[in-house]
Amino acid sequence: MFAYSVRRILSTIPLLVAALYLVHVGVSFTTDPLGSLRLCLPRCQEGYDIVYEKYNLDVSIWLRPFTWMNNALHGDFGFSESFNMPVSEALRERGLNTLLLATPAFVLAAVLGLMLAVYSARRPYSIGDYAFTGLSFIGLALPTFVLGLVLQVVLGVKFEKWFGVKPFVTGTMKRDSIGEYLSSATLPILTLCFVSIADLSRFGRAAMLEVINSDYIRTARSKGISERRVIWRHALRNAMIPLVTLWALTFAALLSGSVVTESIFSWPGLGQAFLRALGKPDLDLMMGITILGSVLAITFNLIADLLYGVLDPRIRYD
Amino acid sequence: MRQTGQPLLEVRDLNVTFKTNAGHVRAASDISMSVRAGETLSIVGESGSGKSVTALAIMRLHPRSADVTGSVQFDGQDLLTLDEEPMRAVRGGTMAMIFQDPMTALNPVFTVGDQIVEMIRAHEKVPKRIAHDRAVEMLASVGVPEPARRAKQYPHEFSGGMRQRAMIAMAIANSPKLLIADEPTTALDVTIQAQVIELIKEVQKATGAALILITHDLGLVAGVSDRVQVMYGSRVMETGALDDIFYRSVNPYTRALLGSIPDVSSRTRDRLKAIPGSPPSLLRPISGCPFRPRCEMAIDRCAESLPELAVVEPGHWSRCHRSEELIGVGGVK
Amino acid sequence: MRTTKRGKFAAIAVGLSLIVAACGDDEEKSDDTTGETTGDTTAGTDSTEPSGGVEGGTLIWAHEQEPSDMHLDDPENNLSITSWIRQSMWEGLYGITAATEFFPELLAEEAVMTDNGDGTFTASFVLRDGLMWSDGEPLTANDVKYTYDMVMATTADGDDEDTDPDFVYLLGDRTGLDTITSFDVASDTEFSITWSAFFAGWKALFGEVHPAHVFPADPAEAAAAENEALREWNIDGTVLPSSGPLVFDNWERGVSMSLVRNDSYHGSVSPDVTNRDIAHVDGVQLNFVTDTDAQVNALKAGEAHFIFTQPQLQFEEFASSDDFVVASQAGPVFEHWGFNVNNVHLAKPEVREAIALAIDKAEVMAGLYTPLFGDSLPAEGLGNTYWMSNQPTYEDHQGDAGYGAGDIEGAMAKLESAGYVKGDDGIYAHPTDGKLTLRVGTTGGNRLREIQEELIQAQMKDAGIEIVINNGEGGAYFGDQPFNEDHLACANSGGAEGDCGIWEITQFAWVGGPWPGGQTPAYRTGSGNNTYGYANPEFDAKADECDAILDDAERADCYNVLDKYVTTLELDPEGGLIVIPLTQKPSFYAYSATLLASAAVSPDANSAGPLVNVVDYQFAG
Repeated sequence: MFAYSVRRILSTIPLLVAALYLVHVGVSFTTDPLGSLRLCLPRCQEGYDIVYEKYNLDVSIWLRPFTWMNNALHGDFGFSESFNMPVSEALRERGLNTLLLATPAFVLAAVLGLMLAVYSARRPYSIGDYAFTGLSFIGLALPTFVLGLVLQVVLGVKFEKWFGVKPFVTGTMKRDSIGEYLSSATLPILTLCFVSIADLSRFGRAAMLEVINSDYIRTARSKGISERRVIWRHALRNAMIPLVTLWALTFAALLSGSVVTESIFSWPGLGQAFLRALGKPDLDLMMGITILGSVLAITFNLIADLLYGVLDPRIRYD
Repeated sequence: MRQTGQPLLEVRDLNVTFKTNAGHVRAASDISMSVRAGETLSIVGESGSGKSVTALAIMRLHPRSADVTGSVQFDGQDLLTLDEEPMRAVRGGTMAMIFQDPMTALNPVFTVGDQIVEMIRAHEKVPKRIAHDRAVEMLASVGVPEPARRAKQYPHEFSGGMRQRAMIAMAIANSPKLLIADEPTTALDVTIQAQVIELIKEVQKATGAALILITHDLGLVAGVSDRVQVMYGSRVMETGALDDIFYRSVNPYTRALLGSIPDVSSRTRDRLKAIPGSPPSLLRPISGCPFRPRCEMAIDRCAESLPELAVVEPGHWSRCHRSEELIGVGGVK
Repeated sequence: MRTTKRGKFAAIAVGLSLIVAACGDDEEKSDDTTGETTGDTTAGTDSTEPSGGVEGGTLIWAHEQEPSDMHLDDPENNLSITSWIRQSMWEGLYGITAATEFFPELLAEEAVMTDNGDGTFTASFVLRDGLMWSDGEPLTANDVKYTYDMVMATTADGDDEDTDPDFVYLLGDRTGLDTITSFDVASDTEFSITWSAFFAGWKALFGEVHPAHVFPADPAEAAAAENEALREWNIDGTVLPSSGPLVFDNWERGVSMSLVRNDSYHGSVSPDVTNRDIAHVDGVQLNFVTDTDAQVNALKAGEAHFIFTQPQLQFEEFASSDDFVVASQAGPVFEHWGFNVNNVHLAKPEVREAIALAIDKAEVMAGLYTPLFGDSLPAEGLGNTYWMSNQPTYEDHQGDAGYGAGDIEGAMAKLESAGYVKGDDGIYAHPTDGKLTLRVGTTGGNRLREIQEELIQAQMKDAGIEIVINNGEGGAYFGDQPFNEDHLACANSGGAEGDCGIWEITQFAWVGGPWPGGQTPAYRTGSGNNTYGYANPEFDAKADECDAILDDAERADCYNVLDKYVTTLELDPEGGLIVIPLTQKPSFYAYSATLLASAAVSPDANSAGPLVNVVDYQFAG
């Protein structure tokens, strides 16, 4: 398994390099760090020169990514202008904030998604199943910003009018105490959760339905064990195998930050940072977030693959 | 043939109906049967004749979408009205099932040993270790070599025949009073088939269990059955003692079926006489006798009314308007 | 390497320079308000009388922009928000009023400007008595002198210091500072500055006075120290002292910034404020709420007391509620249509005049702006590009010339006089120059601007002028069309070089300041800001003349003359009338009436933000 992991990691390096190259070139083509500085020349010559030098604008656009990658290899991911700090530091700070949203959102989505999947698979085509299916499609179709704003209005603004208490903060990150964290993180977590749960429960339902109609589930039932055991032990173990990849990718995506959710709830995570970097444009930070996202995706894919082996004895790595 | 008073299993007017988008489907109609302790009943029919559905309905393993009526008396209980809890004690305890495809009937993510252990511990509160030892014993008893090592392996590490042996070991783990074997050899190599049937007979003898053998292969039935029930189009067509069916069949369908048994002594396959036409659609049942469109002896009356399952001689019943004409006539052998 | 062309146009130039409005970028991303918005908006008064308010409380202001650092003059910084925050902390010699005019802020009275007769000019300044930094140190003339020395400090790098000075302090523009020949401090409150030539924008030069006592004595060292200290607003861990009503407190990046009351504040003398004492509120917390809809929710949820955002937001919900006060205030930002005079049609004054005559500004105002801003803007639209409608020196030049009133007959007569003949499709065509069809472009995605284009397009059609809409995407529009390098080459060469066919009519906003002379580069021959291709040496000379006029009233008149060159054909019958100002774009703000007894805003894109009169904010009892 170790050799396999090493091989897998090594094989992703070309992919990573290609991804970074394309992102760098793409970003360089579509953004102009000199922007308005051009307009105020010659008065802004000084600033113009600083920016010109920082982004190696004298080098061909096709070669610039290599300079960046060389620096990154030496641990230098550049300096983020929009945060006035090294990119690595900005990533750590912002990554932690994103983690504070992504982890509970993922756990909640995974657990609820699984429960919905089990429910739907046990009572396929029942009213409950149709209701959850409908909700899932709403979750898939509803733009995140709509959902986020609706939650804000309903739980943030109206809740107080209805119940006279104000449990949820809509627009600030607070994390000095658990209570504060919960009041400010609940709405964005719910938003992220609802968006991911749609995918997870639909896929989970399909996986569970396939498993539940399989011969070995009938065998399990014929043994006289409880239905609970049939579902949670026999069916789930098998249904989880295809689900693991989706979980890994979902978690990786959540960890790379959600641009929309973080913006709506003013949560200073990676997604919001990316948006800000895009607006500046802050090329180094954009690259930093991209590489983090790529590494997360690759890592979690690997974890998913290794988990396969644990969950499914038929798969062997050698 | 042991015959001791009350039958072990008594099925009366069992109906299984599926609700589908295209309408209601009768998968088993007015099925009745009885099996005495230690006895072997073979249910024979083409696929879709309702034989597997009947077996599943007896164990209440039928799909949720199926509606089951009638009565199933087993060991003094009516299984169809039994609560879930005592029903679970029946399943795998006093009644066990061997499924058709051992490739898919075992859970791929648990070891074979664990799956047998689960069967044991579902019915008897024994420590895991002891259950495990029993599982190894069981595997040994069905002829799995190196049972201790094999118990720790996953199903995919077993060959098809070995898997079916493991299934059998699991089924008899709690010494059931009734074994239901649903096409136990269909998915296996021809060379293995005989071994598995032999094994089933052996374990039946060893445990004294009654056996319901479900198959589409009349040839398999000959050596093992006490009684045979022939099904077609969700209904019982003929039922009787082995000899009643094999030598004194009064039902055109049974006769046609017998005609399509491959003659093991013959080298040429073309002597196999297939029944012309195809089995009826259960979705749109035809009027009268379901076998009518394929029957060589069909008459107008066959389209008008469904023949009753009528007594031909004691213990021998047939569903055909022309049964009486066939008594003592021809026969296959 | 100049392969990258697209860029966001942020408000970046410093001081008095004229900049392109940052429309179409993220500031206006939620731009979806249409003309249907019903207008119950309260026209802007910058302060309501304090009625039963209480002292104390922290004012929470939700805003979408967060500075990357607090060093205003870093070319990468976002000017507006940084400048708005700093206005509450560092005062200057002159402040700016709600009417976009200068008033003596740290000064005891207007400075006296003297013509020395030899081309040089000297201004004498007197500071107010009792000026104080928040750390208890007195604010004196030495602080002003220090600010000048620090900004102008250079390092010796071997180059010729006279032609290529290597300044230490990061500042985009030293215009007006680099012509100072002497700075004399007479006493703690008196000093004088001498310029080698008159510079009309002199009042804006010391918009902030820096605290000398916390920085090194050596100007170059001080400049280097400031470049560092200003970013996080502290030096060696100590917060920089304030001369304004608020002191910097804490900045949690991505979340909020807190400013607290300066208890030793010497009081505001702005004509706009009623409170001459220290601020009513304990402090201001700026919450960075990126999404403008979320800002609205934050205000409704009581998590913010005040928002100050783009006018396109749906404000009517607030406007109709008693719980909120919505107000707008016109600042020096104006929308206009500008012509590319190197186009064959637009080169003809008759065509430009025909468009000016046919445009119905009142219809545009009634449809788009009046519903949002009430009567804070004149119903007939804007007719001047140097003076804005809320300023006393404003004259409606275009209105006076009969433009912008939807005169279709007049427009058609003009076209026919230039040899145009109406075709079967109702569109005029020129015998040699072809059909009168012109493309107009703006920052795509900005709904308000798109509707504005469509409205005028319909008006033009009535007059037989075909307008084709050709918008660019968001902020990229500027680099792609009006400020495309190939186009500027054309504009600056009178059509001899570059590509003159990139665009014909442009629609965007200019952002100005209290000194209207900043508008001149947009029209000056060969200027990088002159995208229209206007070239008139007479105008250039007049512009220099205006900037050198000492007397304020006289100078104001002169700027009105300059404006007539470009908004009418009166002074330049052949080349004039190259822009059609449409309207000012006011700033919009809303606050919780139940929580705040009074709010005080003096919105001006660069020079005055929501915190400039922060002393007047007061919580309701």
